[in-house]
Amino acid sequence: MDYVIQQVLNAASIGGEYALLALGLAIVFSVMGLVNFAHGEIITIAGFTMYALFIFASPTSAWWLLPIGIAAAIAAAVTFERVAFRPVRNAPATTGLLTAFGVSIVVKNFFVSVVGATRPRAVPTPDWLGSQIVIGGVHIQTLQLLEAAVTAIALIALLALLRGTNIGLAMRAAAKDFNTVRLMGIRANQVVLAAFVISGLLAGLAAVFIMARRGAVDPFMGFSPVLKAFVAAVLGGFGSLTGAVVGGLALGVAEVLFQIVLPDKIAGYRDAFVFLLVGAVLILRPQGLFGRKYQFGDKEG
Amino acid sequence: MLVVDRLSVAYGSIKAVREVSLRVEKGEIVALLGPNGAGKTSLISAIVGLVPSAGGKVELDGTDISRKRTEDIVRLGATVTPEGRKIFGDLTVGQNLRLGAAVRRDRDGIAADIEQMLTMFPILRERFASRAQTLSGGEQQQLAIARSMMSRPKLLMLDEPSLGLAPRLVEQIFGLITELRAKGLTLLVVEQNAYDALALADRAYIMNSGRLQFSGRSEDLLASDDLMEHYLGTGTGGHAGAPG
Repeated sequence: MDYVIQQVLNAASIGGEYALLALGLAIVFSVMGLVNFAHGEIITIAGFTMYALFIFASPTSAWWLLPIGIAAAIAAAVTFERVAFRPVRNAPATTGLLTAFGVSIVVKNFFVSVVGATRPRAVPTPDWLGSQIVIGGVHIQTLQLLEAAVTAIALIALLALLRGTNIGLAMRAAAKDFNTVRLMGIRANQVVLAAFVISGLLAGLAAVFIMARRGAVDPFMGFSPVLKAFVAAVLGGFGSLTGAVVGGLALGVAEVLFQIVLPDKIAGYRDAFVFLLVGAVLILRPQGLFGRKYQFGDKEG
Repeated sequence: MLVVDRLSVAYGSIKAVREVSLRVEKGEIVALLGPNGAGKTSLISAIVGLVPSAGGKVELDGTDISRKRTEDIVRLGATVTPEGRKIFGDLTVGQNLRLGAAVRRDRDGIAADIEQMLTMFPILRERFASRAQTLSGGEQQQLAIARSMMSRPKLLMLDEPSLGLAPRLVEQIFGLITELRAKGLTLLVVEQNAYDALALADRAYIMNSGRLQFSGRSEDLLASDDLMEHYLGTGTGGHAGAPG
């Protein structure tokens, strides 16, 4: 029983992390048609900000690193939008994609050459994140429990925002038809800004968990989680918010399952098996689990 | 209220609108007629800033709005109910109306206006909590107009409000347009359905191939078979342009 609960929590926490990142990608894509390849760099920036705070400010408690890391992620996402993506907003989708690649390369190389971070630098996280608690005789990692809980809360809050607020409704409407949203007098810049703030916030939450697990930063730390998030988003149907969450969780479950069933000798190929499975799903449903076939063609304006 | 001065619109090298000038006075219903592809939709899209103009000037109540953003023009009181209705299909009828009032902060006023729209369009009250994409074409058109009204515009530009509607519904929508004018609204109605539009408009402009071809009083147009035949390709009794 102990083992099953731990594995379920394992899948929920990993899947939750992918879901947070995939949702950020999906929101930005659905609102403005941008495939944000620089999403991973938001995590990297959050990580390095926490590192810098630790080095230069030597906070008395590692607690402070968490909100600052999340704030840095939001600031990074908003800055990317303002500096890089806004000027090409009305350009063809390829231009946005290439711009995102450019941002990603610039940020990575900034940390490699300017900050000189060629090897991972250690960053402490609050002790309690690494501790274990015992519930009903089951040992549970605080980090995993928190990760699953925070993901769930973030999703519920996002759902409430998308259903109950004007900006949330406007974002959903803009995903289909931005021009008509503007005809309601709603400012396009605000809708896009909201999308990036949300995507930055979700990436910041993920970044804190990634940092807690790794305990170190390096310039390429955002690549692997965001690659998985892309896979999750495609699996769920790119641009679909439900799909992003389901895709993320499914990917988490698949990873944990393969970890369990694969013999030790080939356990190192876990990701290959996971991607094979994803490939098989996409052959059966090329539009992803929740994607609509015409999603890429029906966006206007 | 609206003064359009030699406005042009170009998509790449294709000129969709060539130096069109028109005026709409406060309280008027003005029809903008012409065949498919004449540049009517391009013209009103340029008026509200959804497509950039390639020259010319637009004034709303004396304010130059040629270089303003769509969202700011709407806040100044001019809006478009777009062709093909463009309702937000994933949102409910109620949410569509709420977004229509997104620029307003007067909660009580918004609630009162929603109530007024539901009285004007009883079907929307019935379908209030349904997703808008489940509405029929005529219901969607009513929702689109109601949604536009929620921002309390002074000038409403309706793009092909009769498109795809059964004759009975066209009559209903056109009756509504007269009702809106009685409430103090100024309307510019883009139509291919020339006869019905002329029956309701005070004045009309006719466009073809991006150019303004005719402007004058509706009754003069309707009274002259020659004019109707010449500009709209229709003589007595026929309905110009619009199929069905």
